[in-house]
Amino acid sequence: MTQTTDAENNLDEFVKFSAAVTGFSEFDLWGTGQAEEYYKTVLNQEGPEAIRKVIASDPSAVPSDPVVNSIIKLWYVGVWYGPELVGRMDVAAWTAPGRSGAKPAVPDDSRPEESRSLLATSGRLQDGEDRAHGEVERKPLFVVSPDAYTEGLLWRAIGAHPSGAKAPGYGSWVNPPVFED
Amino acid sequence: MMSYDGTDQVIFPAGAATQTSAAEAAQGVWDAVIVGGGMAGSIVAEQLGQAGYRVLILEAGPGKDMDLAEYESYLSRFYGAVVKDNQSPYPFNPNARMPRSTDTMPVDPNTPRDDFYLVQQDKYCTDTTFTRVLGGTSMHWEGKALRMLPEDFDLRTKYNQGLNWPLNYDDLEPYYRKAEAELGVAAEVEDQAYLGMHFPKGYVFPMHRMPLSYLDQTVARGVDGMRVNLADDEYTLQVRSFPQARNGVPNAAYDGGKGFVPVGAVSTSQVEEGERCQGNTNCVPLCPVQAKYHSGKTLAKALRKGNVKIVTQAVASKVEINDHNQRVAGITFKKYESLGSEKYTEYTVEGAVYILCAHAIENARLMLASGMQDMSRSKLIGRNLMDHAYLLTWGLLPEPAGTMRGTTCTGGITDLRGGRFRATQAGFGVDIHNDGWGWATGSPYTDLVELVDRQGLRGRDLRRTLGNQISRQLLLAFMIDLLPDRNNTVTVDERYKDALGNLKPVVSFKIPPYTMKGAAFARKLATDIFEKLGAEDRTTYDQNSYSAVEYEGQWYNIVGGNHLAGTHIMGTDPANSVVDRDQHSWDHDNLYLVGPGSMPSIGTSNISLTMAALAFRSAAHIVKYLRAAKAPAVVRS
Repeated sequence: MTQTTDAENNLDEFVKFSAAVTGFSEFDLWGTGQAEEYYKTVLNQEGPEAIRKVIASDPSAVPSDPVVNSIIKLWYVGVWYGPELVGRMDVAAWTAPGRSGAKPAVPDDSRPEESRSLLATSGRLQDGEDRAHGEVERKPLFVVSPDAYTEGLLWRAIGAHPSGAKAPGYGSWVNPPVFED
Repeated sequence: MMSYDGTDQVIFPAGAATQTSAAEAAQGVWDAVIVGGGMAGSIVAEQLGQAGYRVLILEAGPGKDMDLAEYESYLSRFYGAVVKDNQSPYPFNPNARMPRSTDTMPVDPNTPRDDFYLVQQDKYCTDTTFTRVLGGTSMHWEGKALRMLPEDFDLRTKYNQGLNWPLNYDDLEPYYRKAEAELGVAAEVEDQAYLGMHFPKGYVFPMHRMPLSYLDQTVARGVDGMRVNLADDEYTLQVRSFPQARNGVPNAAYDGGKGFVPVGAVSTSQVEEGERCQGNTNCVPLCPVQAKYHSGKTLAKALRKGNVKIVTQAVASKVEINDHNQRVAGITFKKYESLGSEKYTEYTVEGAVYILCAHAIENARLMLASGMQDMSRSKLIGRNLMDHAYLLTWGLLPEPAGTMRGTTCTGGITDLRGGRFRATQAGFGVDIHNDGWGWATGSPYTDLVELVDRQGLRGRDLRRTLGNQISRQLLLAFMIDLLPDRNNTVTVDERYKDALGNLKPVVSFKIPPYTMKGAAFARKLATDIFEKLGAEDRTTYDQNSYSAVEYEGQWYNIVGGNHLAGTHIMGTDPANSVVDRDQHSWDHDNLYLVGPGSMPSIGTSNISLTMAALAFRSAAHIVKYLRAAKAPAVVRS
C-alpha cells in the first residue's frame, strides 16, 4: 500500500465537499473521471489558500464564498466560471449548447464591455487546438476540456444526456423521462 | 451498405481533397467549374460527373479529406468551445470567414473593428449564419426537409402578395422525390399530404417518420383539435411529425418494394456509424454520428468518379467576364496555404460552363465584387434577401415532459402554413423544440446559474429542482414567412475586406409589416396554446436588443433562421429576375446560379429540400447545355 500524500488527501476532501454541494455521491463524482482536473482547475485559478478555505466551509451555507458556486457549476457543466462571473446570465447563455448566441431573453444591457472581450476571446479559441486549461494564466471563463463537457452532471440531473453526446438511442425520446434521483 | 460503382457509397476517396493542385486546376480543361462544395454544388457536381463531364469544384473552406477523424475534430471542438453557438464546431478561418450569431451587432464605419464577417449598419441586425467548410451549411443545418406548398409557387396570383415562381409544384414534384432520395428523408405521405401537397400514387418516403417525442405528445394532448379563426376561415390544429433528412427505419415499400438503404457516416475507410439517429439532440450545430444528411455524402459519390475534382482552400474572388459577349471567361480564386496564414496565390480557371453554388449571400457577394450588377438587366443581384423570421415563445409545462431528448425537433404545427389569410398576413410553421428554452434563454446553463447563484440552491435540492424545471420546458418557435423585398439587400463596400482582401458582405435586412402581422398573431396563438396546456407563459422580449422589432405598439425579438435566399431570384424575363426557371443567368450565357438565391419566395418550409430539388432540375438542364455547347473548353496558355 502506498502512502497517502497530502495531495491525495486534498483531492479526497475536494470530492467530499463537492458531493455535498452538488447533490451527487462521491462515487458519481469519481465516476466522471474529472475530479483531478477540476481540483487542479480550482487550485490554478484560485490558489491553495482559497481552496482550503472552501473545503473547510459549511457546504450548506448560503450565500457562500463565490468560489463554491464556481465549483458547483464546474461539476454540472464542465465550465470554469470565475467567481467574478457569479450570477452572470449572459455568460451562462453564451456557453450553453444551442443554436444561437443571440439569445433574445438575455438583455443587451447585461453585456457590458468587458463581456465583449470574453466573447471575442472565445471566438478566437475556436481555431485554437489550445484548450487553455487555465494552467498558465488566470482566466475567468473556459471549458476545462471536451470531456468535461460530456461529463457534466447537469444532464443526469435532468433525465437527459449532454447535447451531442451519450445518445440514448433511436426512439428513446418517445417515452416519459426517467430521473435517477 | 448500398453498393456504388462496386464499392461503398460513403467512402470518401483518400486524397481527393488535396490531390488536385490549384495550378493543375488552372491548367485543366473543365466542362464545368462549380463554386462551392455544399449541398447544391455537390448535387450538381455528382449529376454532371455521372453524365461524364469533367467537373472542378472550388471550395473556400478548409481542405482536408472528409474522414471520421476530421469529423470527430469538429465534435471535439464543439465540446470544448466556450461559446457553443451554431458555428462552434468549425475552425476560425480568417481567409473564408463565416457570420457567427455572437458577432451580431451594428457596425459603425467610423470605428475600425474586425470581429465580424456580416457587415450590418442598421439598428435591427439579423443573427443569421451560413457555414464555410467542405460540406457547407449542410454540416450545421437541422435537417428538416419540408416541401413547399403548391400555393407557395403562385402567391402573387392567389393572394396578391410576394412573387410568383416561374415553376409550379408539379414541375418540381419529380425533383422533390429525387431530393428526398438523395437526402434520405424520413416521413410518411399520410402526414405530409396537407394543404394541397400531393404525391404520386404509391409513393412512400425513403424512411419512416421520426417518432414524435414525449414532449410532442404532451403538446398534442392540448393542441390536437384546437380551432383557430383567421380571416373568416376556421383552421383545426394538430401536432404533426416533420419530414427530416435523418436516418431512421427504412420503408420496405420504397421504390416499388426495393426498399432504401440509409447512407451512414462518410470517411476514407469504412465505419459503422450514422445509420440511424440516436437522439443526440444536437442536429444543430453538428450531428455527432452523421445520421443527419450532410452534403459530404453526395460529394463522396461525386469525387469517386475520376472526372470530378475539387480544390479546397480556394476562395473565388472574381467572375471574369468577356466584355464583348458577356460570357464568363473564368473564375479567379485565391488559394491560401493554411488557416493560420494569409499567404495566397491567385489563379484563374476556365470551363465551358460556370455554376455558382456558394449560397445566397456568397453568390451575391461574389457577383457584386466582380462588378456584375452593371451588366445585369434587372439590377436585382443582392436584392430580395430573404430568411425566415423566427419568433420564439416559451412556457413551463405543469409536469415533466422529457425536454432535452430526441432530435432537435420532431414535431410541430403546420396547419397555418397556408390559407386565404396570406392575403394580409404571413403564414408560419410552429416547431416544438425538443431542446427546451435553449435558443431563447440559454437554458439549461442559465437555469443552473439562476438556481446556484441567485437562488442559492445546493445539493439534492439543486439537483431535483433542475430536473423538474428543465424537463418541463416548452419552446414553440414560429417560423414565419418573409416575402421578397427589394430593400433587403446584400451589397459590398470597399471599406470592408477580409484577410485575403475579398470584400465582406454588407447586409441590410428589415422585417416587413406583413411578417410582423403574422408574428403578432403567432404570439397570441402561443398564449392560447400555453393556456390549453396549463403551461406558465415565460416569454419575454427585450426591446433594447438588436433583434427587437416594434409592431403595433408591441416589441418582439425576431431571430434569424439561417434560411438565406432570394439574392438572384428566378423569373420570367431578364427585367424581373437574375436567372430563369432553370437557374440559368439571363445576362451571361455560360453561367448558372444554383442555390436558394434563386428562390423568389421561401414560404414556410426550410429551404434546403427545395434547393436540392432545384439543383437536380438545373443539373439536367446544364447537361443539355453542355451537350449543345459548340465551343470546347479552352486551356489558358
